[in-house]
Amino acid sequence: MTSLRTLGSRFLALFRKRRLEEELDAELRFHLVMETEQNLRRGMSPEEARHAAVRSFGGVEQTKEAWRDRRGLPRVEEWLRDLRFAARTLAGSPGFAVFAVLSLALGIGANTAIFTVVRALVLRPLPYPEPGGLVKLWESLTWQGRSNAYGTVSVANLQDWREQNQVFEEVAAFRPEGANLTHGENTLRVVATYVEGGVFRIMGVKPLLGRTILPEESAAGRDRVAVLSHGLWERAFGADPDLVGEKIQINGAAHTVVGVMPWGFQFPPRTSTELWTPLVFSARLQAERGSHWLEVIARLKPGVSWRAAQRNMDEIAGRLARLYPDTNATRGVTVHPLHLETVRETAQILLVLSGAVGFILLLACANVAHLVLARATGRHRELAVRVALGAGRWRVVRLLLAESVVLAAAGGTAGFFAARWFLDALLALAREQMPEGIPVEADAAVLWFCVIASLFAATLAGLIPALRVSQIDLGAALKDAGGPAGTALRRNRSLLMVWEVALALVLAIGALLLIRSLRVLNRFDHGFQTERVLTMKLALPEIRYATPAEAIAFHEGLLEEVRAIPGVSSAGLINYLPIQSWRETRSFTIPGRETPPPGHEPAAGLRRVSAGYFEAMGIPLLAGRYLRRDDAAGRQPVALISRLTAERYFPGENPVGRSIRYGLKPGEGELTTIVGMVGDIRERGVYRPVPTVVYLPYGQADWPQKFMSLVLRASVEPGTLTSTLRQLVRKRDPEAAVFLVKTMEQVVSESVAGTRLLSRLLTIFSLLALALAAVGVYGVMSYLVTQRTHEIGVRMALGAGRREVVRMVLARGLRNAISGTALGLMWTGLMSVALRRFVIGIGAIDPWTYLSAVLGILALVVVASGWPAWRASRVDPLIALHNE
Amino acid sequence: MPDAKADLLQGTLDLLVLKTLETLGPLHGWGIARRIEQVSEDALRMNQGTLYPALVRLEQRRWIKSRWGFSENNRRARFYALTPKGLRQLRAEEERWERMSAIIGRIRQAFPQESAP
Repeated sequence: MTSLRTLGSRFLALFRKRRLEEELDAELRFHLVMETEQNLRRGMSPEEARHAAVRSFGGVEQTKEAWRDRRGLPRVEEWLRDLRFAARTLAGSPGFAVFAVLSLALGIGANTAIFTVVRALVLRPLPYPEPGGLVKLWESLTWQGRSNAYGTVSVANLQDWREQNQVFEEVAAFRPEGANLTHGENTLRVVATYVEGGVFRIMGVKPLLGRTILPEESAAGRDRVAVLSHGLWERAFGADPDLVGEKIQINGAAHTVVGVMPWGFQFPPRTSTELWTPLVFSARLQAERGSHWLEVIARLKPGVSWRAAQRNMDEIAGRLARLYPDTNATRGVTVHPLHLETVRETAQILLVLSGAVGFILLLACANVAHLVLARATGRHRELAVRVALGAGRWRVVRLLLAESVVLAAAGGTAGFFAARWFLDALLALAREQMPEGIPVEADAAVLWFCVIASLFAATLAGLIPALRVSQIDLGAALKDAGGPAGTALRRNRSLLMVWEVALALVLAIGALLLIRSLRVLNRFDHGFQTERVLTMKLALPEIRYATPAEAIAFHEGLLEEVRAIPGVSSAGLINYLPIQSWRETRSFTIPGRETPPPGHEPAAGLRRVSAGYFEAMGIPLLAGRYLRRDDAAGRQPVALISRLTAERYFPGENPVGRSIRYGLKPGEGELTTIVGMVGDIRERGVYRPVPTVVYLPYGQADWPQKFMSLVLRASVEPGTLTSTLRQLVRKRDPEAAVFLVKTMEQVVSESVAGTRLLSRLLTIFSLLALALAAVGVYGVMSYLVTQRTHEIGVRMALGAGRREVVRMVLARGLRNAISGTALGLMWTGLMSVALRRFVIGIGAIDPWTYLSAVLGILALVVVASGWPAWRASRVDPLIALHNE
Repeated sequence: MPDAKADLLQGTLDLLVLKTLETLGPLHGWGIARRIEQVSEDALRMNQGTLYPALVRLEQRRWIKSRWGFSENNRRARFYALTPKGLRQLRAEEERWERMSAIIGRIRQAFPQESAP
C-alpha cells in the first residue's frame, strides 16, 4: 500500500518537476539563511557565517540530487535517457535499423491483420442488444454410430421445449429458405427466412417502418405478410416510404408489406436474408416429432448462464426420450451461445492463419534478436567498461533492451499501417469465405493488440540477447581488446539459427501439404463427370402448384424443351445437387429382415430424381436399369441404390429385384422395388466419406416437388445456354425463379474454396518465413565467419586450401540446419492436427512433402551460407593474422 | 554490506525527526536540524543536508505532512508536522529501540568480561 502510494507520488513528481525544483530551492535557501543568521548572532563575520552554514549543510548539490532521487522516478528518467541514447545509436546505423524495423513491421502487421479478422468474426459481440443472452437450440443425435450435436428440430419437440423450460424468456423457431419475389417482368430469387413472431422480440431490434411479424400471424390464412430488409427495400422498391401496407408478389401470392427493418439488421445472424415471412405449422406438422427441420433461437432469462440452460434442457430431453422412445431415444438438446454459433466454420481457418502469422513474428523477432546480439557483441568492450565503472547487470540489460524497445516501437507503428494493407489483400483473396455484412475494421482492441504484439517482440528480441551479453566476464572482455567474443555467444547465435530453420520448416511443410492436397482435389474422382455439365436451381412459386401432378407437368415440359436445344445431349432433375446441398440420411427397413436395434437401422440419403439425371451427370449404371419416364405416379414404386448401399445392406446378394420400405417400423412406408444399382458419388464433397444413397423417381413422390436442380450435359460450351434456359423457364411460368446457374466444375471448385484459400495464404506466409529465415541464416553465418577470421587465417597459413575452408563453413551451417530440421519436424505434429480438416487425399504424414520440404530448407541454408563461406575462403592469412 | 549500515543510520534519523516533531509540534527543516544537533550534543555528526531526502521519504510514507507557512522571523518556510500514522510509527519504533537496548543490556550482563574494552 505504502509503496504504491510512494510510487504514485513519485510518478506525479515527474510531471511537476519544475515546481518541485523551485520549492526545493526555496526550502534550502531558507535553511541556509537561517543558519547564517544564527552564525552571525554567534559573532561571526558575514562571510564566515555563510561559509560555516554551507559547510555544516554539507554539499547543496549532493543534497538536491539525493532529494531528486527520492522525489521522482529516477528509473523512468533513466529509461527515457536510455531510449534516447538507443534511438541515437540506431540512427547511426540506418541499414540495421531499417532492416530490423521492416522485419518487425512485417511480423506485427501480419499478426494485426489476422487479429482484426478474428476480432471482427469471433470476438466482437453480435450487433443486437444484450447479445450475451442469445443462444441457439439444436437437437443432438447419436445415430449409426456417429453423433451430431447440431441437428435441426421437430415441431412437437419445439413446443415441448417452449412449454417446459424454466430458463428462457422466449423461444422461437425459424427456417432459412429462398423466396421468389416477382417484381415487374422479373422473378428474383431472394434469401428469405420463415420466422415466428418471437424472433424479432428475441433479437430486440425495432423495425424502421411499420411493425414486425405478430405471433398470431403464424397461422394459415393470416400469414400473407412480409417484412423487408433495408437493402431489399432500397434495391427493389426505391426506398419507397409508403411501401408499408402495399401488396407484393411472393412465391406466387400477394403478401402485404407490414414493416421494413433498419439498415444492418441481420437475421439469421451473419447472413444476407432480405425477406421475413411467418412460419406456419400445419396440423400434420404440429403432431410430427420425427421430422426435423427447424432452427431455434432463444433468449436466456437474466442471470441464467447457458450452462444452466443446458442442464435444464437435458432434463427435458431425458423426459421426452422416456415419453417418446420411438422418435426421441437418440435425441438430446444442445444449447449453444449464438456468437460461437456463427463462426464455427471460419474459426478453423483463422486458427491455422493465426498460428502461421505467429510463426512469422517469431522469425522476425529471432532475426532482430541476432542483429541486436551482433551489435551487443560489437559493443562488448564498451559494456565491459560500463560494468567496470560500476554499472549493475540490470543496467546493462536495460541499455540493450532499450534498443529493441525503440525498434519494436517503430516496427509496431509501421506494422499497424502495414496491417491495413495486409488486411485489404487478405479480404480480396478471401472474399468468398467472408460472412456477409460484417465490417472487418481495426478498432481500439486491434490497436491494443498491436501494442502488445510490439511489446512482446521487444521483449523477445531484446531480453534474450541482453541477458546473455550481460553475463560478461569482465577481465576477459577487457583483455580481449574487442577480439572474438566468448563461445557462449557463438552458441546462442547458432541456437537462433536452429530455431529459425525449425519455424520456417513447419510453415513450409504446412504450405506444401495444402498445395499437394489441392492438386489431388482437382483431380479427385467424385463419381460423376464435371466437364460440360451445367446446373441451375429451379424454384416454383411455392403457393401455387398444390399437387404433384402440376409440378411434374411443369418439369417434364421443361425437360422436353431443354433436351430439344441443339447441343444438349441429356438433361435431368435432382432435388439435392451433389456437393451443393444435402440432407441427413433417412432410415429404411428391408422386408424379411429382423428389426435392428435403435440407432442401427439401414439408412441412406434419399434423393428424388428424374429420368435422364444419371446420364447427364455421367454416373455409371452397374446393374439393372436407369430410371425411365414411365416410373411415374400410380405405377410400381421403384428405386435405384448406390454401390455402397448395396454392399452394406445386401452384401453378397444381387440387390436388383429386392425391396425396401422407407419408414421406421417394419411394414411402414411403401414397398419399393430396387431396379438398378449406380456408381457411388462423393455427394458431400471430398472432405466427407462416400455416403449411402437411394434414388427415387420424383414422379412418385406424394407431395409436389417445387425445388429441383436442373442438370444438363452439353456438347457446346455450357455457359452459352444460360439465357436460353432462363427464357424457357420464364415462358412456362414467370413466377418461377432460376438461380445459382453454375457449371458442375464451379460447384466442385467452390466446395474446396477453404482449402484453396488456406493454401494460397500459407504459401505466401511460408515464402515470407523462408525469406526471413534465409536472411537470418546469412546473418548468423557471416557473423560466425567474421568471428573466426583469425582461426581461418591460421588454418590457411598451416596449409588448408580454399575448398576445405568453404567445406568447414558449410558444414557448420548444415549442422545447425539439421538440428533445426529435427526440431521443426517435432513441431509439425501439432500443425498436421490443425490442418487435418483441409488436407485431403494424402496422409497428413506425407513422406514426399516432408522430404521435399526438408531438402528445400537444407538447400536454402547452403545457399544462404554460400556467400559467407566464399568470403571465408578469400581470407588472406597474412591480413587475418595481423588483425589482432 | 554497505546497504545495511545505511539503513541503520536512516532509521535513526527517521526516529529523531519524528520524535522532534512530536515534542515541538510543526517545524521547518532548519528547526528540525537545529533541534537534533542540540539534543544529541554533537554526538551525532551529520550533514544538515541529509535531512531533506529523509523528509521527502517520511512524507511519501505519510508519516509527516508539509505545508508552506511563515517562520518566526516572517520568512516563507516549509513546515513539517506529524500525522497520526507517523505518531503510531514513532511509538512502534520507540518500543523497538527499548526492546533492543534491553536485549543488548542483558547480553552485556551475560558476558561481562568479553564486553569489556
